[in-house]
Amino acid sequence: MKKIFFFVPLISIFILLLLIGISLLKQDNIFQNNKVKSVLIKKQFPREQILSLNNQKLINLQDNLGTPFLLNFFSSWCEPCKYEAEYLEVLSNKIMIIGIAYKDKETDVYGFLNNFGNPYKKIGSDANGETAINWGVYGVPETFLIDKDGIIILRHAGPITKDVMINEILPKLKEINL
Amino acid sequence: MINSFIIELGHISLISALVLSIFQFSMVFIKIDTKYSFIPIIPKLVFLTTAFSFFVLVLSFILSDFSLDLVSKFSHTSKPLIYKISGAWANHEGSLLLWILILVSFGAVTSNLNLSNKFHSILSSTQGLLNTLFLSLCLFTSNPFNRSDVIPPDGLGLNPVLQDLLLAFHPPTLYFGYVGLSVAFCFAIAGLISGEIDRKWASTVRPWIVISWITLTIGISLGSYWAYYELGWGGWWFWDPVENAALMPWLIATALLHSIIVLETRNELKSWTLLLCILGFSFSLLGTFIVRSGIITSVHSFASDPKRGLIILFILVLSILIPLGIFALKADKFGTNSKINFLSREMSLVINNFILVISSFVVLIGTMYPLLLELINGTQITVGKPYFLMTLSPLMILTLFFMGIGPLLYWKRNYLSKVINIFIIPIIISSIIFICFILFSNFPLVSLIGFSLSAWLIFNILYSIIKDTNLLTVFRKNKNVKLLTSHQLAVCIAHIGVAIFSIGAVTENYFNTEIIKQVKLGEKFELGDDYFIFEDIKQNLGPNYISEIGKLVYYDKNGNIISTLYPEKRLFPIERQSTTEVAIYRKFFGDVYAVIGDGDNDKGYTFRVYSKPLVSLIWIGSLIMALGGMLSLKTKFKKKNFRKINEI
Repeated sequence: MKKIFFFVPLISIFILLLLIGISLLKQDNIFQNNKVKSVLIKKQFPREQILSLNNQKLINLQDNLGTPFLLNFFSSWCEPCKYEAEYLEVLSNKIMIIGIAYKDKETDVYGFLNNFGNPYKKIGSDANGETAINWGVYGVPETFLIDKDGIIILRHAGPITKDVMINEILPKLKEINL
Repeated sequence: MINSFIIELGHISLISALVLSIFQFSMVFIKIDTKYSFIPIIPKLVFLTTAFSFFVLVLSFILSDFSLDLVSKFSHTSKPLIYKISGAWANHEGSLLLWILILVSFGAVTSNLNLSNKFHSILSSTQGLLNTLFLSLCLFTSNPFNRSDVIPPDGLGLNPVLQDLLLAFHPPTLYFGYVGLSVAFCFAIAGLISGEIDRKWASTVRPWIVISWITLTIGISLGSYWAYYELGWGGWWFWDPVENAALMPWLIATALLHSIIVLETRNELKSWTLLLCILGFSFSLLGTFIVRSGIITSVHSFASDPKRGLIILFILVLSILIPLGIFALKADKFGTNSKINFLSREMSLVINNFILVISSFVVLIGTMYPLLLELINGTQITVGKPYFLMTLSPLMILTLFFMGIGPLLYWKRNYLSKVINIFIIPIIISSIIFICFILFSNFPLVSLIGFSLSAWLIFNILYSIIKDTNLLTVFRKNKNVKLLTSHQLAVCIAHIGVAIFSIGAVTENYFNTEIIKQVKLGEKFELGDDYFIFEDIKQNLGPNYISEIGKLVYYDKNGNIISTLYPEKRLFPIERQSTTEVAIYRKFFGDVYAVIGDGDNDKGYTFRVYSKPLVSLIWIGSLIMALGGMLSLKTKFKKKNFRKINEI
């Protein structure tokens, strides 16, 4: 009879853990992968002029209205940027890519492009990070897809992997007939 | 940036710690335990490998190596060095690694203890299993060595609320206490399985319980003091789930601290002590990890991932239910030999033990109730201060009462007439204090009970000092004055700490006054008899924040300047967060506490000013308790320490 008392702690903690388990499972978002969404999605891209890398001229992004393009923030000091270079190369055959060198030096950027290839049609420089703030950039690398009307239709923070290219970017390109 | 190689070495080192732990766990099954020299080496290797990987993590925080995801999220190049270091454990992954480091260091230290072969191999295996579970949790769900996909150039910063020197030390101290209870936990499991529970077992495990109790006490006090001056809410305890999570193991550890003495001196209360050993660490685990599973939200919340919650729950089930199952099956072997006499020191200890355990369950219910109610009918409620005050106050009143009795009684049994002789004077004195307060003051009744019982406790402690040192009889009977033993001294100091704490807590709760007012420059406002003039507001630029500092001149009722207070509000632009820096003027009889809120020069600024009498007694009392604990570490109970009832 006395032995039953020794089971009281076991049973009470078991019930407690069981209830915790049930409420954990009831949480709606349990097996959903929630990603950071950009407020800029489905909106016009920020209008601004960007200094080109060699400080020679201004790049006006509005000039590109009418043709879709990818805007890619990158840096020579960024390890994952090296990784995505080969996929940007593939994408550059389908769509124009404009690169923005984020908080970087001109010579370093040219060194980086020599080593890993240059998929960019134009390269802007964002030495103090202002452009990145306007675009709400989380970090480098980060890529935006802008359609012919100047509306941002895709944003990807992090490197473009094979998976991301095939499952996210290429379908979107198909949607806008590219 | 440090070399990628070193980071990977740290990562590999952590993986080897896991492999070694699995080996340490399995030793008991594959009978390596016959080669005894093996056992103490493995836990030390586990410790060294974990320590190295923790060192690598801290190093990458110091050097701001943002190729580590964790560093890029929780550090920033503009942060002062000390906060870069403490940033290493100001997040889920890093703090889990620190937690594990402390766990394995206890494993390494206890591997040197002189224990019987069988007991030691079961102990080592149990510790190996714990290490395995938590290292797996760390490596598979919360790996601090994950690399970042996206590299922010300066890091995403650290919560500015956490940029505080005290807070750099609060988590490590608290973790030390939490994890220290794992020693008692593993000892209890090894004891249950091997059957070796005796006075030697108790004297081996007692220092570990005392050490974790001391660090828990200090860690909780640090956290409470930090909340008091940093959060700017004017309180010292908010019944936040994480605070409760620390309070529950503390209450159990306090009970354990006392019951282990009964086991060590009287060889009684075996199964009860074993249960407390298991519950203490189980509550630590529940408290620490429920918060990380994301089902309870609190100011301490970490960014959570529900999938991780399920894995954490699974680990909790393994590490809590298995030991409780072993307890349920084996505990009847450790029954009590003799009945405990009602009028004895044991009985007052048992009563207080029950009260402490009930209190910890009351806290558990209060913490879990909102969760369970939401589960049953979907309503969301919060259980706050009123519930805890209503349930815990009567329990604490009983505790204070029995704390006053216990140390004055002898072990085994006492004669009723002698007991009445002892307690007649303290009862009269406390009653007189109580009646005087009722007649001559309009204090709330509960506060009066609190004060009278604190007085009762202090008086009884002083009385026991006089009795134990023979001060009363020394003149009459020509006896020599005896010095207090280290144990008696420890008891007196720790219990005086409790009395001081109670006075502080009761006063803070019932006698604090506050005023919230919007004031323009040059205006005056009153708090009680004193008044304040808002003289100036300044803008200031800190290393990584912008601040607004108000200047409040504090006058007493006769118009003399007492002090000038500079409450401050800091805005951290990178984190887009603001913190309050409270201005506190400390007097012997209490604090004046000023917080500046939002405002501008036209409308004026909002100020909150509190007068908090005797509030510092809360932390002074807690530290005195911890000091008592430290003294009791020296105690060695011997057979001759038993006092017989016919002594004196």
